[in-house]
Amino acid sequence: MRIDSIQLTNFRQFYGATPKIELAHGDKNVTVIHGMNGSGKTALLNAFTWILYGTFSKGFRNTDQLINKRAIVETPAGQKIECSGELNFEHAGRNYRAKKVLDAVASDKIGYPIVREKETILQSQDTDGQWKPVHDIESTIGKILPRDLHSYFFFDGERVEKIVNPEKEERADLARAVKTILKLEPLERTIKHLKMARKHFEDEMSRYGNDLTKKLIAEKEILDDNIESSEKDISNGVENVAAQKDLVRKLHERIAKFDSVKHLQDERDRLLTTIDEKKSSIKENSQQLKALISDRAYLLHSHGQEEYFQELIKSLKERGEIPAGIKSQFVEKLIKDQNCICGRSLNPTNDNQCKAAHTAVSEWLNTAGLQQIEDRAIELGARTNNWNDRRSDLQDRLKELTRIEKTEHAEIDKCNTALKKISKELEDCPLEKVSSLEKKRKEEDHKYSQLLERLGADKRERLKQAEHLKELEKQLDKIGAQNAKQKIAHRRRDTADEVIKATSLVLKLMDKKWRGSLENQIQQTFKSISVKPYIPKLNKDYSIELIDTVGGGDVAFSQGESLVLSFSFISAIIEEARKFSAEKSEVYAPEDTEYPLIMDSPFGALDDTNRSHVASTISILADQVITMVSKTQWREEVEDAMMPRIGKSYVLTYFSPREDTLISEIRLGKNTHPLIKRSTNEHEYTTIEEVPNA
Amino acid sequence: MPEKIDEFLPIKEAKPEAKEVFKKVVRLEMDNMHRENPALEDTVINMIRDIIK
Repeated sequence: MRIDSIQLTNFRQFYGATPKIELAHGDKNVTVIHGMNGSGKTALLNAFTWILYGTFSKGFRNTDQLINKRAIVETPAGQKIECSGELNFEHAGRNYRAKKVLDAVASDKIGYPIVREKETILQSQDTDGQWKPVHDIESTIGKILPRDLHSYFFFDGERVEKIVNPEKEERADLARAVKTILKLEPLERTIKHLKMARKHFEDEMSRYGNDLTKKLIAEKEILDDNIESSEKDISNGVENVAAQKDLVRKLHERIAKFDSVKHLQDERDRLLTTIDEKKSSIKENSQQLKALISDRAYLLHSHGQEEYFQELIKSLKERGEIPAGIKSQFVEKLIKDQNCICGRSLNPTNDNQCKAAHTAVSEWLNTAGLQQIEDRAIELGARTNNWNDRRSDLQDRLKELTRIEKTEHAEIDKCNTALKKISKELEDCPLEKVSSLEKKRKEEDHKYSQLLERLGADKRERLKQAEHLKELEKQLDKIGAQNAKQKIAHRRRDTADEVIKATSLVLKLMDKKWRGSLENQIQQTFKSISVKPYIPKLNKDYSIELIDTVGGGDVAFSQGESLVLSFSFISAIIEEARKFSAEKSEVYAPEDTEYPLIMDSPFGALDDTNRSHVASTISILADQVITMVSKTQWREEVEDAMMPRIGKSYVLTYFSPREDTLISEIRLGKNTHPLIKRSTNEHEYTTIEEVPNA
Repeated sequence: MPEKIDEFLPIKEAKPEAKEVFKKVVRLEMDNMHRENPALEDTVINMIRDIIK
């Protein structure tokens, strides 16, 4: 999607019709709109989302009062007041025009008029230049820039926390948005609808099947419901655990803000990191132990067997049975070819001599050795030679791994004892606020442990259900189909089942691939912008954690870091969508992956270095950038970084009715432009003008 | 960097009729991703009926 222009009429601060605001694209893809606080920057951002989706950003107030106040007052009673927004954009080589209109009739009473909202009009331009209506507006816009995603591309720089630090309910939205852009969402829906289809064909199987089939399918239906409920429990459990962990982390941060106990909280953080490390070590240890037992446990159960085997080989050799003087394969070949090595024929039908020779040679088979057995015996003999050494090595490794596990458990116990001590000290702290925060933390930490335990139990239950399901399906397959109708229902159900299983695997693999790639992209962009020694880590729900590469553990991020992370995240999403579209796929058709980025006040919370890095990075990573900035945000370093890519510049001039209005201006290039002017009437309003030769 | 994986391998290895069901249903879901369509379940059932006769 490339936005070409926007035009507003009587929309919030904008009185009358603005000129068509042309937006830059191509090599010079940045449009900068300068304006003071309250001059209409946020209104402009919201005009885009209002026209396309009918939505507003969180910070945009009084969304039921969009009509410009001066227009309301100046329109004679009984006459229509129009408030509208028109957006022209291009997508996949096609031009579109979206228009949203609000109608109101002015009255002679004071107050806001009654508004009648008209639906959005969407038109697309044919190759002959004619504009034709698009009827399925929501679906068409959804395909161009999904509704779930729009807040990531039209965003309020002062309210970006939800991308990197989402609340519990926002986590699901975030995951859905990423899955939409990475095309995982249709696979999830495929599985959902195929499960319904499978159930439909199982019902048919039951209808045409015998009593046992009916009984098994009824049992399976109950099990399917239980599985669905278990999966929901697990999914909720994962979300609850993450949210509770976050809550506890925030309490830790609040305690650490008290200087007198900061050292205790720091020590607690260190101990918790140590516990995490020890737990990882135990897990790794346990995996090694399992692998070792699975590979080499036979050595422990075969004590004495190798000596017996060596003795056996030795006695066979002593008796001359191995290596055998003659191999059975050789004798068999002579009989088959009917020729002895001495030249005599071995065809028993020739004459008596040949018959006798054939009998004699055939008798050799009784004493001949089998080549394979002999080879195997020699190979086994060689292998068992060092069993004693390998057994002893295995015993040493097992002892070592058990020792490590014990040591790690002891370390964890020590850490837990120290943690209890810290908690007690904090609870007994003379500062009442610290004491009550610690009590609250203990409660929440206890809840966190309970949630983890419940999640573990739900996962175990799900494993049991999977076993039960496997058994039922095995029984159903064993019964098979009893008639033609049931046979076809069976085939259809089996196919649905096969596709469900394969799609689930495809989904898992795609999720792994794109998640890894997305995380890598976020890390690269973050590294290029931030100077901090942190690495962003993408969680399962696509929220982001910052890991301290020096001190260890996750770190709380400032508003500036949130912004840098948000930019990294958004630019990574754009890059991944591009890569995704570039890949040839049997299923997904190539798509236009040009994305605009419309940002209101994006540089406010950043320091000088980050501001410059963000400004230069974002204008390269996004295809089109439209940024609204205040005078204080438009610093030299931002201007320098963005200048090579600025294609268009506009200034919002706010007209204030106050007599003591302080006039303000901004210098852009060689000229100055008014940001605040005195209104010539009693109304406040904003005009927008293009800065020539941007 | 993530390891190189062929994420469509499970479908490539499936039976031909399962492959056909997969392609048709995923395309249907793609087309209906941004709109409410309560008839999708029936459409999927009919697709399978048409493929497996």
